[in-house]
Amino acid sequence: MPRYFVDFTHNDTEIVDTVGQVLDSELAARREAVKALAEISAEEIPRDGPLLLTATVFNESRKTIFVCSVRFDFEVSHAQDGG
Amino acid sequence: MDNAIRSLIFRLETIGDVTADDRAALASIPLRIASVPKGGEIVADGEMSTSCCLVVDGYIYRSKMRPDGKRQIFSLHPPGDIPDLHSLHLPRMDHNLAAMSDCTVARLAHADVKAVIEERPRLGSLLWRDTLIDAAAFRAWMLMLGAAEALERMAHLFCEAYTRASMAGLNEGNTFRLPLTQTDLSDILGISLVHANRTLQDLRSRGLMDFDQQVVTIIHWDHLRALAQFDPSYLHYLDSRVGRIDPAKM
Repeated sequence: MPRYFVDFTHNDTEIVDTVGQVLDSELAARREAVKALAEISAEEIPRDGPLLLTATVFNESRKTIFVCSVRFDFEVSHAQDGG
Repeated sequence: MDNAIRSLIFRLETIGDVTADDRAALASIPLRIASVPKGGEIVADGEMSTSCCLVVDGYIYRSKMRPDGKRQIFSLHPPGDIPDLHSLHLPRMDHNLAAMSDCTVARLAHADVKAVIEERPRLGSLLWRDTLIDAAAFRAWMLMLGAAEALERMAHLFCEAYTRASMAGLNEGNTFRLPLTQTDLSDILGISLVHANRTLQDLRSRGLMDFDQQVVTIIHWDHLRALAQFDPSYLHYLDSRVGRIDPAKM
């Protein structure tokens, strides 16, 4: 079975996958990357500040086969008293 | 004395007092030794069990599969453990017992274990203590699954595995064998395969530990423990026998 690598970016920080994982197919690799991104988002979003998380899936020849990302942003509004 | 029963005695001596008579009584239990290949089923979910399974060599694990094929691993067991000791009183298995690596196991017939316990109630209490410690470990895993982030959860798993390997005399200094695959890690921690892989690489890049070719090397025990907030008291081992703070000194 083929080995796939999934690199992540966390805002400007890049986390390179040097180990990879053996998966059935490209489709399985894509699904695993999306699941991981969802899990990581659930942990990272409640921390402070805007966030851009990206997962990039590579095959064994280091060719990009899939990219997915999650952006979290927010705006704080202050209601006026006595309006 | 058989090597198989020696591993059980070693385990029981780590959690309580075992007299010479207790040792002799345990050694009198007939054993049926079997080899189980990696991944092999030992007792299946739903099966009626008539014997307990003592780990003699290798690691075995308990798990349960959901109808959609998702698996949760509940516990890992090094030599000396009897993970299905509860089957003495709950003979219908409510989960699977299988080999995490190539294993040697010894089967102890329920009738023989019950006979020894009836004859030596102190030994019965000690075996009861063992199953209660098992339940304490379940609580610790549940806490990590429900209330900790992936990095802390994985750090905690390695802290416990190191402590348990040390309790069983299986560590060589700060190194021990842990026959887990990436899939096993994800099924223990309840996270996806890719997330488990990323989390492991995070622990490595922090210089806390290494896990290569199924061998764990603890590099910064104090920092790994602090990250995991690992308190080994739930393993209820005897301080006189096992160092409380530093498993490498066990």
